[in-house]
Amino acid sequence: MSKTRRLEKSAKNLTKMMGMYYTYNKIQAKKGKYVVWIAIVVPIELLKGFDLVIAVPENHSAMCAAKKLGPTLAEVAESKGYSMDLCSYARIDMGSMFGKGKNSPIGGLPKPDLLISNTNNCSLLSKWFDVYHREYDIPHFILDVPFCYERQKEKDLHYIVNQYKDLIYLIEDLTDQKFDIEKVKEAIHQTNKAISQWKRFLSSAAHHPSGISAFDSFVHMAPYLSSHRGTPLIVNHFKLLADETEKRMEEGKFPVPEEKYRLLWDNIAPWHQLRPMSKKLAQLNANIIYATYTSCMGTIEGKLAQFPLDPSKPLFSLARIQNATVCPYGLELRFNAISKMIRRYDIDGVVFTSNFSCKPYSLMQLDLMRKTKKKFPSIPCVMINVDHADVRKYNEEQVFLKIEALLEQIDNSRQK
Amino acid sequence: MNQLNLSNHLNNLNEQKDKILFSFPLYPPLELFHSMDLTTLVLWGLKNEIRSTQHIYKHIQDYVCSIAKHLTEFILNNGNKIDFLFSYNACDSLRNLPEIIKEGLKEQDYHLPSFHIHLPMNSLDRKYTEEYLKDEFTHLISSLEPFIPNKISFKRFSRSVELFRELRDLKKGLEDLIVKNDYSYINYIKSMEACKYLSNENQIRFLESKYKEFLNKNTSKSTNKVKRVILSGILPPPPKIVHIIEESGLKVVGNDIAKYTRSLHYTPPKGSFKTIEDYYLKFYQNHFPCPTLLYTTDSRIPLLKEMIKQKEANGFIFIGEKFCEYEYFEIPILEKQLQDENVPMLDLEFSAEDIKNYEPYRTRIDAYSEILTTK
Repeated sequence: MSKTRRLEKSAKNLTKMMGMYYTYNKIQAKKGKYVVWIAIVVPIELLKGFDLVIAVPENHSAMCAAKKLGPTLAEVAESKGYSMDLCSYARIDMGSMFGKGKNSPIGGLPKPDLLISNTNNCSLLSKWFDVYHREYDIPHFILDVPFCYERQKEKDLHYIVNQYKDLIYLIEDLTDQKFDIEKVKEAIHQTNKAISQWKRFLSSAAHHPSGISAFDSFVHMAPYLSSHRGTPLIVNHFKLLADETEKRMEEGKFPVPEEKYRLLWDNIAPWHQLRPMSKKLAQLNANIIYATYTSCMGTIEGKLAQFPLDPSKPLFSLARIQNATVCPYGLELRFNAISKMIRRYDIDGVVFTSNFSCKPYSLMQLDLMRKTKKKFPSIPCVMINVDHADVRKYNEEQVFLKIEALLEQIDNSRQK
Repeated sequence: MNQLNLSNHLNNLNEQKDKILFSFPLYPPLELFHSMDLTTLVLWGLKNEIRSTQHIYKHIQDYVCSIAKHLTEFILNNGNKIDFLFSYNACDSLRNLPEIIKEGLKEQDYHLPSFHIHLPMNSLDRKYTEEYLKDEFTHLISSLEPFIPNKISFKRFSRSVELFRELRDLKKGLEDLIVKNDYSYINYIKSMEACKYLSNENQIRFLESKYKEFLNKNTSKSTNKVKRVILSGILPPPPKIVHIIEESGLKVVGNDIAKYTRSLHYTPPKGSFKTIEDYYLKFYQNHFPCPTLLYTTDSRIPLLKEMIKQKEANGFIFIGEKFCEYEYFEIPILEKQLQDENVPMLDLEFSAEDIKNYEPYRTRIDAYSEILTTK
């Protein structure tokens, strides 16, 4: 039986970093530092121009879900009247907020002074943040990003830059701090370095057997979606991750040594299933080696390569990647990206994950799957149902029935 | 015109060689399309038009609202009868649909010219946001112009605006009359639905005749004996639900329905705009608040409280569109705030599937009515 590999050094470093992040935030908030809650696509590099405590509710919800606390927290929000049909990230984090941090592994996020959401990743984030806006009676800045069906338009770029300027004025006004653009440039420089290491880490998937599992990438993306982004710490972490991965590959250590099936994952991670799912897949000699979700970090519009940010044009650079950092975008762009991934990583089958809690990501997958099947008739695809953070909406038997059928199809396709 | 024969209506329009534009909900620039001689159909409330689900589940998942499902099915069944599609970023689901529909039509060998604008959602009172919105309209006009026989003119546009103003005023007036004279609110919903696919001119004639009809009716008033409620949601409830509400001793005195009040409330005053772009800036800036218009968050609850006060309403019934997260994110806080004002809320949920049994709704409505009457 195959064993799921663990990247021990990187895992230890990750635990240390994330612990540090949450503890630091709590301490600084207690000292009275200004606290901003942001959606994950809001560019943290821009906020580095200020001295702020930055917390990311989506990140917090994913962590709660991974620690099996999702339902407990979601039920608190549901008991307040929030429908079970709402995004589970929102229900979990609202549950934490209503319960004043009870049952959150970190005791909840420090109380915010300002909220910044964005509409591109999902415009419902703004509705979710409006709950906090009304509950805490604090300002809510909506970063409005036109959806990306194609290459970003020049006027959209300027529109986003103007909003950044507005946001800078707002924070200056609220905090009495002076915005420091040099710090933003430095953060961008660090992000470039970090993403370069991240891409190096992901490229290990090209090896047969793959040097990584997409589950590794799900776990280790966390610091990028925290205030570690734009700092040397994340550069070091991603470098450690890539180094450790390569070293293990040199030693002949792979997540699924007898890898028979190389799969691609399309959607957000099933946070509550990372370990059980990867373990069960490994038992079948299957590995989800790559994921659209973690591949698009630091890229734009369906490309696989890193989009280098230009530190000399910080606002424009950040606005340029606003359209596709960790987010869904148009059908054609996603199809292009998936096509490239299939070729580059020698994919045997695609797992499209229809996610009850993320309509923007999911609501085009049926066509995406059809197009993929048409273009790659020998690559079987399957659609499974998952909720990224609410385990109550997950049925392991049904999911694995479909995955096993996919593996059979791959076998059949090989015999032809 | 009855909603059951929209497909036939489309056939008639095709025979008349009308240029037909299908528009996604919720708040498209109808005046503009009208001034371009485009026959525009806004695709919501199509439940009775859908006879099969052959396309829906091929293209979209189950956990999507009925509006998105029915719209997809209807377009994919009638792609050969229409000329253009229009959409804007009304919600996440509708934002994804244009490409999905394009794929579906491609399978049938149809290609429809599609037009899309991005409506700024942060705030419409910043200079650059105003410019962005205006530019979206300039671009929309120039994209549509090659497809229409006459060049768009401000004069023609202004005439269309006046027609829409008259129509909206008539619709609001009819609701006021029906409520004031104590007629069943079903009359309002039925009148609105009966004329929804008529031309503006025919709608005006139809509504004027309805107005006269209700003006001349002689009924005794019983408003003091019943509790007054406001309906809220994206789509109006089925008439049967209104019937149950009224049977339970409640009177509907107004609505915060996206298809009705939220759409009808505001038309920029004559003389307040100098260009088409300017009109739409004012149109969206002053739009009746809606959970899908993200920049209206802060004005929504105060305005609803004001409406409740003006209409002397005792209750608020939410007609929930299942899977419309925009609405559902607001409900708990709205319910709490209305409760503080001593206005209890009833939350009813409707989905894409046909309602076969109204009795569970009746039980809940009766219980709610009891709460209101014993208050």
